[in-house]
Amino acid sequence: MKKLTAMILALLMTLSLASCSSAGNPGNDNPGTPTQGGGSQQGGDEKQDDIVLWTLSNDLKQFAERYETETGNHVEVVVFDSADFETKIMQTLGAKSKDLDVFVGEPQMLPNFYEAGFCADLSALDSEVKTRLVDYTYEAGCDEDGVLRAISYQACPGSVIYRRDLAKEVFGTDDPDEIAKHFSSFEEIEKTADTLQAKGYCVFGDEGALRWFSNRDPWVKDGQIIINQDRLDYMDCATHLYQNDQVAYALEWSAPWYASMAGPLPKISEAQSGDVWGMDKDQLINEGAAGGEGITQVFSYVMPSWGALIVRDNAEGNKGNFGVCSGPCSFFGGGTFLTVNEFSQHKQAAQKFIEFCTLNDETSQWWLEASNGDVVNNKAVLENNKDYLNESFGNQNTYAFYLAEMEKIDFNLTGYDDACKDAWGKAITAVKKGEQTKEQAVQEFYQNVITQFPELSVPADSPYYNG
Amino acid sequence: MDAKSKSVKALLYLFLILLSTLCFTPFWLMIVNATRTGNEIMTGFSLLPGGSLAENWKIVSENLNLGRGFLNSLFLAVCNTALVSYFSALTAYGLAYYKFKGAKVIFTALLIFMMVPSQLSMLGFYDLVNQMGLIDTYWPLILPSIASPATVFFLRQYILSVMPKAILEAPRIDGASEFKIFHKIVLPIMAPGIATMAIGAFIGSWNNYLIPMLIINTPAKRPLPVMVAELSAVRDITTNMGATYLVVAISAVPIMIAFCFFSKYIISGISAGSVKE
Repeated sequence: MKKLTAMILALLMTLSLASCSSAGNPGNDNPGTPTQGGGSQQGGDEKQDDIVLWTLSNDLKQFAERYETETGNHVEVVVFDSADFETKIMQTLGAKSKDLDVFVGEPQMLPNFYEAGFCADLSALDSEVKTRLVDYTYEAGCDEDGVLRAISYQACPGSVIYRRDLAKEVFGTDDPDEIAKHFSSFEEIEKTADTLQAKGYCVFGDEGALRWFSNRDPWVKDGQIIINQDRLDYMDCATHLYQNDQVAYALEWSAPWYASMAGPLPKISEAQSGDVWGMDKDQLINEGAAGGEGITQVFSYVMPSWGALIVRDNAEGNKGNFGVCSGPCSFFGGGTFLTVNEFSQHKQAAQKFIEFCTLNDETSQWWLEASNGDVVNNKAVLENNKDYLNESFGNQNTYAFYLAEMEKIDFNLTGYDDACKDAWGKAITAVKKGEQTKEQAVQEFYQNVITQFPELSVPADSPYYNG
Repeated sequence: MDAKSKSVKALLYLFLILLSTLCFTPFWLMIVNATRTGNEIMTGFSLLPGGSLAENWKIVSENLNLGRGFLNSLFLAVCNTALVSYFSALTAYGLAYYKFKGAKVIFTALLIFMMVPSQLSMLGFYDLVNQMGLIDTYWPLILPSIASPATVFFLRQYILSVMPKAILEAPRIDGASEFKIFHKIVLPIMAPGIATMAIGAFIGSWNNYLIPMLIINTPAKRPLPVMVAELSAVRDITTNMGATYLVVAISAVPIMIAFCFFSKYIISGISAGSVKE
């Protein structure tokens, strides 16, 4: 026994020492030679224009392949899990790493990256980006002082994605412009919900869909928290939909939500919505029948352009039965921005690659086709695809729609958005469930935000503000 | 056997069956989900396997170098386990049976460090590793396991309870060196305790995500958990769900094997000691 143990231990020790020296190879890490792919194939013929890219999704691998075939320069694409990406970047670049040349960021991460000084100055491309790409992406790519630091290859304008067949039945038309009128303001949405309810349909999966429309005005301006009539209308509308049972209680990303894209859904009560999270469609329908509230259909979804693709991919029999139109205000959500590592030793090459991904018309056209419907950031290319009839959306000219929609996006992202939206969401929940009056909830909202950010103040003329 | 004890027994069995079902169900669901498509997983829940195992495997094998990840993880886990086992046993033995100045202080320091969660020291650790130029190597993932206070603490208590000091007198009289005593006598006596800690170390290293995620940059050097996370980034999460479950299920296999291999030591390690003389 003891011999065996000793032998095993000895074996493990030798093994560990032997493989440590081969796998670890710490002596190889001197600055100047960037650590390359896996320590494997690349030998001495490493070119000056080869770069390393850190990203969150596989999209850019396709870009890198295309880049290599066209220019001969290799781009090593390293994909990280999105949940930890920001931590990883913060750690690595916080230590001024030279191991990567290009990295990506989503709009809400970018301000942090700018502030930390991780993103190199891209103002050499400024004029091109400003004129040829969509305005809001240019603004999102600039830091506080207006210096361009990040560029996106895609644009993610928002839309109301609605069911054409139901629209015809209820409103007598499925024309996007006509349907948009029914979503033109929070009051209109309430009326639309009433009309749909009379026919047995739900306007949204859940009233959280309205949150996308909450960005018509910035949340914070000149250090002041902005609560205006628009935000109060949003609160009223959510309360109206909830209290009159005009939503299906199919929460975004839950099983009923996905199922609703393909067809009818049992009408469930809010209390049940937690229980049905894991059920499949047949179970849901049985459950609905047992509950005695019958079947309903979800009329529309509010999502950025990539959300339209999710609806399309889960529509099954309803494919081609959807249309896209505008809501009360234009908005955007998500999108991958490319930026150059400030500490990189291949800044020129890195910038060339970003230019290739974002400002090259051919690349944009190729990506629009290769990605099967991604909305690219290049206005000229979108213009060229204006007449494309999208079968998945009832032969609508979706690119023309998104192009027009993007022009209307008012970029007003602030660092306080997430916290404000969170707190406002809580206030709405309290009001819609009748736990608090509107006045109490709004006052608590002010308090919540001020506690988190003492530097902010509330304008004296804000609703329900008592000093 | 009378009716009463029979019914008690039945109740006990019922309870045990319930308990084991409770423990086993999540594993079963993981295995079932590994055979279903992402869409099925998102829209429903089933106890019976689906038919998409091959499809999921295709996604996995196209996107991940699973064998490489396995080897990386295994290498790290084996090194960590070996270092934790050997050096912790050595330290524990020293602290338990040698009288030297400061032994108490060292032991107290160990206890204090045991209380500090490793996440706290992470920023500093990263900076240190970076200064030493060891980012993207395995050294920072292996070497720190030489010092693991919790294991030392457990083994010290263990050896004090299983080995009377008198055992050391015989070899000393026979002229064995101190290291020989440790290797030939102390180590075998401690084996069950070491095995208990070793399985913990193995599982800990196998499942370790945060530190490898931060330290390792090159995809080919990634251990399995970091690779699994990458899979969810590869495409739309809904389409990859089944494949992710499959990798998780596969990556749980070595832990099960490790447990089977060590479990008899664990049980004897936990129960041994008290009444032996």
